[in-house]
Amino acid sequence: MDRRTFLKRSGVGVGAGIAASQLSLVQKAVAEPSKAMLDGKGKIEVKRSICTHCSVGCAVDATVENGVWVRQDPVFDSPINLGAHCAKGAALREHGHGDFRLRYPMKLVDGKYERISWDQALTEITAQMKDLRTKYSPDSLFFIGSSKHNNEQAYLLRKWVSFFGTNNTDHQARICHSTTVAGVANTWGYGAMTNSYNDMMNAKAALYIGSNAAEAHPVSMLSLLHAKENGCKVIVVDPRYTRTAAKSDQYVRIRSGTDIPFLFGVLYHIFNNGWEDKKYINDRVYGMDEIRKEVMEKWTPANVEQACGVPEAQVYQVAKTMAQNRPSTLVWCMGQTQHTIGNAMVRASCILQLALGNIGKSGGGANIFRGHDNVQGATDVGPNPDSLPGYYGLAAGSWKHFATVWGVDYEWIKGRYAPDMMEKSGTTVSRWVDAVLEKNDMIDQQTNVKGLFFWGHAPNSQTRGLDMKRAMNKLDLLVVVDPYPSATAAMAAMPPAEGDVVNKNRNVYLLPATTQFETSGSATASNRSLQWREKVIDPLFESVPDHVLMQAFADRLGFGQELSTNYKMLSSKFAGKQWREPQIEDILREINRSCWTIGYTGQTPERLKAHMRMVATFDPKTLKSRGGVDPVTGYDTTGDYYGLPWPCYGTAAIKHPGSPNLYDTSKSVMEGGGNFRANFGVEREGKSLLAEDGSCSKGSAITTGYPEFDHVFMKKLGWWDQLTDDEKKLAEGKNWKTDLSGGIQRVVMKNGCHPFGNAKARAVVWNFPDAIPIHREALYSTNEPMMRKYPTAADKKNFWRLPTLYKTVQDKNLNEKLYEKFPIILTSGRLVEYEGGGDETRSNPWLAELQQENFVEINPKAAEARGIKNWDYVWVKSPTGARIKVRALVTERVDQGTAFVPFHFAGWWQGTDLRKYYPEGAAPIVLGEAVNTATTYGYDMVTMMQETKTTMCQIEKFA
Amino acid sequence: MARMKFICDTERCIECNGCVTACKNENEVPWGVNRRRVVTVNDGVIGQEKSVSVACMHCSDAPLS
Repeated sequence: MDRRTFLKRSGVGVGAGIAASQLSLVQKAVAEPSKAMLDGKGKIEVKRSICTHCSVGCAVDATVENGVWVRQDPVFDSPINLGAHCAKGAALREHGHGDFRLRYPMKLVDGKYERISWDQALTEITAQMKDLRTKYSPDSLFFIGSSKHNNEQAYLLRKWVSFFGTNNTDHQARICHSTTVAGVANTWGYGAMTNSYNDMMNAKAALYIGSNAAEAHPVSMLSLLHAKENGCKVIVVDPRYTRTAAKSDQYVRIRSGTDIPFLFGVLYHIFNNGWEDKKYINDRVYGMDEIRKEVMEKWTPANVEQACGVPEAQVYQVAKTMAQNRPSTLVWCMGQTQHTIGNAMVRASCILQLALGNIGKSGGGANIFRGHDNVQGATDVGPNPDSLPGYYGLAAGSWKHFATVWGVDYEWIKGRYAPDMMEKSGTTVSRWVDAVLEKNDMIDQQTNVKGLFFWGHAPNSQTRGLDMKRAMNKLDLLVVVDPYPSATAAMAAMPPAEGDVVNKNRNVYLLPATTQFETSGSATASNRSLQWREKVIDPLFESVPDHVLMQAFADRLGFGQELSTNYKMLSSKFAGKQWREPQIEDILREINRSCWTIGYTGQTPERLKAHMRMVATFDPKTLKSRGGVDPVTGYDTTGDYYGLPWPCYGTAAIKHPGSPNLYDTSKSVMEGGGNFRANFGVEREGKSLLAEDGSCSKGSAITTGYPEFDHVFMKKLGWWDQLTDDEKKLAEGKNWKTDLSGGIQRVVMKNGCHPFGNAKARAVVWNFPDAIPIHREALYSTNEPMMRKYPTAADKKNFWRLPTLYKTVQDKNLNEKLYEKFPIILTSGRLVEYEGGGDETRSNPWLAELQQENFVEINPKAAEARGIKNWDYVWVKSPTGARIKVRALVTERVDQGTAFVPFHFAGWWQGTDLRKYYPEGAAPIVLGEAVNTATTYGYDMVTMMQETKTTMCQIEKFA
Repeated sequence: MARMKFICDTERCIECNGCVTACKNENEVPWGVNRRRVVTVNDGVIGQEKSVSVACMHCSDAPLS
C-alpha cells in the first residue's frame, strides 16, 4: 500500500490537519512498521518544545518512539507560529541524530584532540582554575555564557560566576542588542521589544530599518504579511535589497551606518508638516523640543541626502506613510545595533516613534527583534558583566538582595571577589581578546585574562579574527563547553601566525554539553513571553546538560552547597555515571522569588507548563487566552497572555496576566497595561519628569505622574495598611524591587498604579555621551568628506576595564587614506539556513546542503571593474591585513559601494582549510571563511557593542 | 476524491526553505536529492523579486503532488 492509497482508505486527511496521534499511522504506511507499533507495547510519546534557532519562539511537537526522535510537527495551535516553520525549524529533528557533535570530553595534546574521561577533564580544569584564581585573581578568568542556555541555566551561570568571584562574564547579547537594551531602557524604562510579533498584525504601517526578518526571523513574517494583506504599508530601509525588502511597498537604500541622518530626516518632515502627536508628546515625552531644534537645524533634506544618499522625496514619502497610517510600527535589528554609535541610532528610532505617539499602542511600538532563542532571557536573568539577574546592577544593595534570596552570606560572596572588584563591571565578550593582549598597566584589573570559558558561544561571531587567534595562543586555559565546539576547537589547534607563538603551558579542553532538546526549562522569546520546553530525548553520547556541569564544577571548586541551597537535588545518570542535578523548576522558582524589577515573578513552572498544554486557547492576534482550564493542573488560563510576557508582576497568586504591549495606558496594570517608567528622578532643570496630569494607565488611583513605590511612599499614601501583617514584615524598609513578599507590588496594582511609577519617556538621555543622538561616521568609513563633517568621538582611557579607541583609529584611516585602498563598505548578516556562528546548523545536512560555500555579494558594476564573474573565488581584503577567500555572488542586491558577506561560516582561515584541526568526527559538514577574520576595530560608546555593519574592504579576483 | 495540491502564494513566499527541509526531514531524503526547491526570479531587482516553492516533478506518482 502506498501513502496515498493508505490515506484514501483510512480516511485520514493529507497535510496540515493530521493530529499527532495519527502520525504514527501515516508513518506505518510508508515505512516498515516497527515492532513497537505492531505489538502496541512500544512507547510513543509526543514532547512539546521550542525551536532553538531564533527569538520568534516557534513551538514544535516531537514524536519520540522508544527514546528516538522519529518525527516532528510544527504546533498548529501555537499562537506564535500557527503551524509554520522556516528551514531551521523544520530541520530540528536532526538534533536527535547529532552525527557531527562532540561525543566525549577531549583535550588538546600535541596539536591533536584526544578523548579523556569526564573525571579527568573536571579534575584538571578545576585544579587549573583554582591555580589561576590563587596565583593571579578571580578576574584572571573570563566566562562567556550563552543565549542558548535556557533561563534557568543562564541565571545559574550568573550566580555561579559570582560565587567564583568575578564579574568577567558575558554572552551574545553584548554583540546583538546591548545598544538596544541600554538605549531603549534609558529612553522609557525597559530595554526590550515593546509589543509582539503577533501585534504587528494590527499595524497600518511598518518600517523595518536594519532588520532582514525574512531570513533572520522568518516566521515573524506571518504577522507582517497578514497585516500587509489588510492594507499595512511596508517600508524597508537597508543598504541591501533583502528578502524582506522584496516584500516591501517602499524600499529605501541607505548608506550603511547612516541611520540617524535618515531617521532624523524623516522627523524633519514630520515636524515640518505638523504630523507629530502633540498631546502625546506633551503628556508623555521629555526633551522633544531639543530634538526638534536639532532636527530642523541639522537634518535638512540636503544634509540627509548628502549623508545617507536618500533623496528628499523618498524620505518625505516614508514620513507621510508612517504619519498617515497610524498605528505604525518600527522594527530594527543588528543593522542598527552593531555600530560605534548603536546606542544613539536605536534612540533615534525610539524618538521617531515617540513623536508619532506610537509607543504603548497596539499596532505601534518599537519592535526590536532579538536574535537567539533565549537571548532575551539571558539578557534578563543571565550572565551580564554589569548586572546581577533582573537588571539589579552590582551595587551593595543589589548583592544583599540576592544574598538573601540565595540563602548565602553577603560577606561570604564579598570574600570570593578580589578587593574592590565586586561592584565593578567586568569586561565584555566583544573585548576579551584585549583583556588578554592589552598591556597589563593599561587594564583596570589586577592581571590580564588568562583563562577563558566558551560556554555556548561561537568565536567567529566576534570581530577581529586575527587578534583573537593571537589571544587564544596566549591563554593558559581554554575550556569550550558546547555540543558543537568546533570553530573554537579548530582555531585553538591550528598553528600560530608567523612570528607568534603558542603559550607552552596552555591547556585546551572540549566538553560536550547537551542541546536544549535534551533537557527542560523555560526560554523567553523576543516578545517577552516565556515558553516551557519539555525534554525530548535523553542526552546523546557523553553529553551533559549545562546546569549539571555548573553544579559539577561548583562541587569541585568548593561552592557546590552554596550554589544550590534552594534547589531540590536529583541524582541523574549522564555519560554512564551519576551526577548531582539541580532541579530546573526550583531554579525558576528562585528567579520568581528574586527578579521583581522586570516582573519575572509570576511565571511559575506550573503556569508556564499549563500554557504550553493550552496553546490553542490563546488568540493569535492578541495573545490573550479565550478561556480554558488545564486538565492536568486545573489552572484556568482565562485572561492570561500567552507565556505571561514580562513584566508579570507580583507573586503567581495574584495572577497578573503578563504584559502584551509595554506602556499601554489603555489597559489597567492588572490587565497588562502600563505607562513609562520613573527611573531617572522626578525633575530636571526645573522641569518635571513625571507624566502630565491625566496621563496614566486605565483605572489608576493616581491620575497624575508619580514616582516609583517604596515603603515610605506607601505610608504617605495611606496604603501601607492594605498590606497583610506577613507582607509588612518583609516589606518594611523596602521598595517594589526588593520587597520579597510582593506585597508592595500587590497593593500598588490593586490601586491601579504601576509599581515603577508613571513618568515621561526621555528623548534626551543626558547620562549618555551624546544625549541627543549625533551621527558619527564609522571608524573605518569609506567616505572621507563625511568623516570630516561627522567625526567620531575622543578615545576612552578606561571603559569596561579597557582603553578604547575612536579618534585615533579614524584619524589613521584619514591620514593613511585607507578609504582609497579599501573603497567598498563591508557589511555582514544572516542567511535563513544558518544561525549565529553556524557550527550547529552547518552540521545539519538538511540545512548545510542549501548553502555549501560562503560568498560575498558584489554589485555587477563593481565586479565588472575588477574582472570578477559570478561564483568566481575572490579575496576580500581588509585593513587588518586579513584576507578571506569566498565566492563572488554578483547581484544588484547591493550597490556599487557595498559588499555583504554572511557571518555564519568558519573553518577556512585566509584560504586554508582547517578541517584537519577539528576534533575527529566533530567538524561541521560545511566549512568556509569567517567574515569576522577580516572585520575591524570599533565599539559602541556606551555598551562595547562591536562594529560589524560598517567597515571597509577591497575585493580582488582570486589568483 | 479531491486531488491534493501544494499551493505556493508568491506574495507570501519569503524563500525560507522551510518546505525544502521539511521534506528532507520527513522523508529522510539523502544529500544531493531535492524533491522540493524554492526558485527566486529577478533576485535583487527592486520591486520585481518573487520566490516560489516548486516540486522536482520527476515522480510519476509523486508523494507530495
